[in-house]
Parts: sequence; structure tokens; C-alpha cells
Amino acid sequence: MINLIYIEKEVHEHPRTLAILERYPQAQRVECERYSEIFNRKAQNFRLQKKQPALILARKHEGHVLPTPKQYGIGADYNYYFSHMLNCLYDCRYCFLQGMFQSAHYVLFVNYEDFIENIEQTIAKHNNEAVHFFSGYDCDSLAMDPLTNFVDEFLPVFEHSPNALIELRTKSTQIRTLLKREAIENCVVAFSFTPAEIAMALEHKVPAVNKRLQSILELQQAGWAVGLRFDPLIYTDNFKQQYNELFSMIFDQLDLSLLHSVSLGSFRLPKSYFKKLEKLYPDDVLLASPQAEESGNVGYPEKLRLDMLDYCKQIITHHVPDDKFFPCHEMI
Amino acid sequence: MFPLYLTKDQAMSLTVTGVGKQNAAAAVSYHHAVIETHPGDIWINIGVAGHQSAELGSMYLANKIIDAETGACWYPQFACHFPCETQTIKTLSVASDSYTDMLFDMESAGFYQIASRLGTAELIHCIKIISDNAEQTMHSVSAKQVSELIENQIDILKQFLALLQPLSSELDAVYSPPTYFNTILTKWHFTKTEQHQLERLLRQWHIRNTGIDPTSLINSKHNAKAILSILEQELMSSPFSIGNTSSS
Ligand code: SF4
Repeated sequence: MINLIYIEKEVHEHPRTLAILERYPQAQRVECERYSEIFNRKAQNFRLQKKQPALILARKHEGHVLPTPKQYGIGADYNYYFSHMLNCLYDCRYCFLQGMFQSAHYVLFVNYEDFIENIEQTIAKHNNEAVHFFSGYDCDSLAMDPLTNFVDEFLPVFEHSPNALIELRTKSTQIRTLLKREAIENCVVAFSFTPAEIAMALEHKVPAVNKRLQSILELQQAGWAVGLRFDPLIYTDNFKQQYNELFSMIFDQLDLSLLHSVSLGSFRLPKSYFKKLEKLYPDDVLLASPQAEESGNVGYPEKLRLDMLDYCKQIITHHVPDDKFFPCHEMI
Repeated sequence: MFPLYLTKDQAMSLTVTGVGKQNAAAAVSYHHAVIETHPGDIWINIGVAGHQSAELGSMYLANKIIDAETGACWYPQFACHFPCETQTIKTLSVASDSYTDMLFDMESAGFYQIASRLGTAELIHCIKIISDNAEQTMHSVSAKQVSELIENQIDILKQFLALLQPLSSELDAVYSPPTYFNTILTKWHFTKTEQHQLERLLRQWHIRNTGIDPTSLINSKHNAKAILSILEQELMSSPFSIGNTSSS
């Protein structure tokens, strides 16, 4: 439920702004010059804001499409991300957004036309080379689709660009818009998973694991390529049992021939984000995990981490061919 | 400096700022210095405001505060749904009866600017009760009327505080040291860095060993290093389960 909408003066009359305002007639509206007047200000508390985030409608002026960090990818040499939205409907305790932002408000950049123009230019720059775009970097790609209309606005760009691929990264079951459309080959709907018990403890407000799996099955039936993201892997003392159950549940039901890719990565956060997490939720169970600091990140101690990754890799590669499996860089 | 009142249980305090943003800003600093406020405390500026057409006696919460003199803006943050309407407030340096569709007052900007340096944005609010409008201008408002206008809204003010209180308590709990932390510090000397380590280890201890007192483990230790070391060892060898442990 959105009770308050901040609107940048510049996008006050933007058709997307008007459509969203129409959707929330009850919400209080407050005008601002720039979203940064509200978003990420000192003294704000992410934990409290998360209880009732406001929506901020803004314009993105630059940096619409950016190269991903080097190790990020699922098979292409050229990888980009774009963030039409900042922040997420869900509240996963391991999420880097709570470390990166001071605010939990949803910022929606309504000038999709500029994102789309930049995506098209980037695709054209790479001519016939494979180029991948990731949309769920600073948000969940689908969770707020009824509000953002993201799928219907962005997917047509890829329908006509066979050398480009878009990954929609999600934990959501908001797949209605996808199911209404004809599936396209170069769109991967990538679902992230942790085992059900871990998800219950750490993934607040997120649809249950079996609901997500149900969405995957529906998407596969409709011809959509799906991906599986076991990232972050989360440690618990019956880790093997929990992940075994998760993998069995998923691989037993999925049509593996329609699986686009599986990726794997262990829990880690940049040190400054981890410290912020400690300040926000000092008594959260995640913080009592075994921990080690390495190259500016806090994650699991190396041996434990490699054991976990290796264990999962064994099971995954039993079901999935090597060319569809993308482990994190330290396993390569 | 400023009249300051405390409830018997000291849970609530009130400072009378007087008129104007400078007074409001100084009163907030004074209040902070005297009360020694915490980041989890609730700060409310209660006062009256003018508006073109709003009904006399009606109550509004500021969603944006503009300092008319400098143009600076602040946006109070709402972490729950409040029982009154929100409005933009323009804080004037000189009283005016050229009413607009914004609220006019003379204190909010001074109050908010300083309070937001001392507290948490989601717990700092300005509540204004309409004392004058285009039909009944500021010239006819007496001090007695102002008291009455505020008194008439006490119930909603209470509801408002009741909504903020759990947020404040949540932050207080977050900022409180873990159980046994202070007891341990009274018995052994810890440097600042060691205190941070102790705090982290004790929190992990409580998550992993709910309800178990760690002091028996450390009573025989002679210094901070030995205590940190035994806590760390114990934690490393104790089971860690996410699925069966409730998270906060
Ligand atoms: S779903 Fe993803 S983006 Fe959303 S809170 Fe969880 S980890 Fe963060």
C-alpha cells in the first residue's frame, strides 16, 4: 500500500507519473525538486522506513545503462545493468540494498524512454555480439510490476534484438503480465532461492519457496526460459539437508530442457554494508553466522564457503549441463 | 533559558520555545542538553499555524517544511499511518496574513533543522493546529485561544504518540547494549575496540544460546583478551541453526 508519493517537479506531468497517481488516488502527494532531497538523507532509519515506504517518482538524468562488475554474468562477454527502480518490496536480511541506502523508499525513475534509448544504443554498439542486460540489480524486477508496468514497457525492446538478452531477477510471483505475452527466447526470468526454513527466517515478505516454484512451472508451461539463482547460499548447521531438499524439490519438478541457467554464490557483503546491517538489526540470526573478512567483504570463512559451494555444485551439475551452470568466480 | 517541564515518570518532557525559528532551534538544543536525548527519542513540535481556508481548530502534520527566508526544505518521514492529514508548512520570519494553500508558521524550520541532527527522521514531527485563516486572521488570536485549540486536540495527539512509541522502543532496543555487557565492563577493563568485540560476541552468544548466562564461562578469566577468546571459542564450537532460531 502506498500512502505517500513524492513527485519531482520535472516529472509532474509525465504520462507515467499521471498513470501512477491515478492508481493511488488516496495517497498524499508531496512535490520536491530532486529525489535526493528525500532519499538517503542523514538521520533516516532504513529499518523504520521499511515499515511503510513512500514512493518517489523521479527522473534519471544519466547512467541509465552501466557495465556490470567483471565477474557478473551468465555466459556473455558484454554485460550491463540498469535500474529503473531503487529498493524492493521485500525485506531479505542479507540484501545489500539495506547496506547501500539510508532510505527504504521506492524510487521509480519514470523516464523509461531514456533507459530504452540507452539500451537500444548499447545493443547497436555491440552489433551482432551477445550482450546481456540485468534489470533486478537495485530492486526485484517483477515484484512491483503492477505499479511499474516494467514488463510491458521494456520487453518489446528485446523482441526485436536477438543478440541481446534480458534477465529479470526476482523472488516474486507477479508473473501475470509475462503470461499474457508471447514468450520470447531472449528473456530469462531468474528466480532466487534459499531453502524454505532459511527463507522463512531471512526473507521477510517474500512469497514462499513453493509459490515461487509454482510460478516457475507456469512460466515454463508458457514457454518462458527460466533461470535459478542460488545466491546467496546461506549457512546453517543442517545446511546439506536443507539444500538437498531444496534442490530435489526444484529439479524434480522443473522441465530441465527449458532451464536457461543456474548460478551459485555464497553470502557476502561489502564490509561497510555489513556494519550497517549490524547497526540496523543487531540481534538478527544472520549476524551470528560464522564470519570472516576478506578483500573488503564479510562472508563465511574460506573453508566453509568452499565446502558449501562445492557441495551444491555437485548436486546442481548432476542435473544441469556444464554450459548452463555459472558458479561464482572463485569456483572457476 | 526556556521553561522545561517533565512528567513524573520522566518519560515525557516539554520545552516552551516561544515565537520564531531562532527560538525554536535554540530550544531544541537546550532541550537536548538538559534531557540528554537519545537517537530513539520522539521529537514533536506542537504549535499553531495559519492557512487560507482550513477550518479553525483542525490539525495537520507537516510533510514538507520550507524555510521561507533561505528556501531550505525538510521532509519529515512517516513510518506509520497517522490519524490526521498532512500538509506543507512554510516557516515565515515575519508573521503574515497573506494566506495560501500552505500552512504558515514561525517555528517548524528552526525546530526541524536542529532536531534532525539529534534524532531519527522517522521520529521527528511537526503538528500544527489551525489558529487563523483568511476569514479569521491572526490578529484576532489570543494566547488563551491557542491553549484551547491545542487542548481540544489532546486525544489525537495521544493517538499520534501511541503510534510513534513502538518505533521509538524498537530503536531503543536496537541501541541498547546486549545483556551482561555492562556487568562485564564493571568487572574487567576493556579498551574501546575490545568493547566493540565484546558487544558483537555477546549478541552472537544470545542468538545462538538463548537464555544461557555466559558469565560462568568468563568468571575465572583475568583480562579482556581472555574473555574475548573464550567467548569466540565457545561460539565457534556451538551449533548454529537458522531454520529453528527465530530472527528478530
Ligand atoms: S528480493 Fe532481492 S532485492 Fe528484494 S530485498 Fe530480497 S534480496 Fe533484496
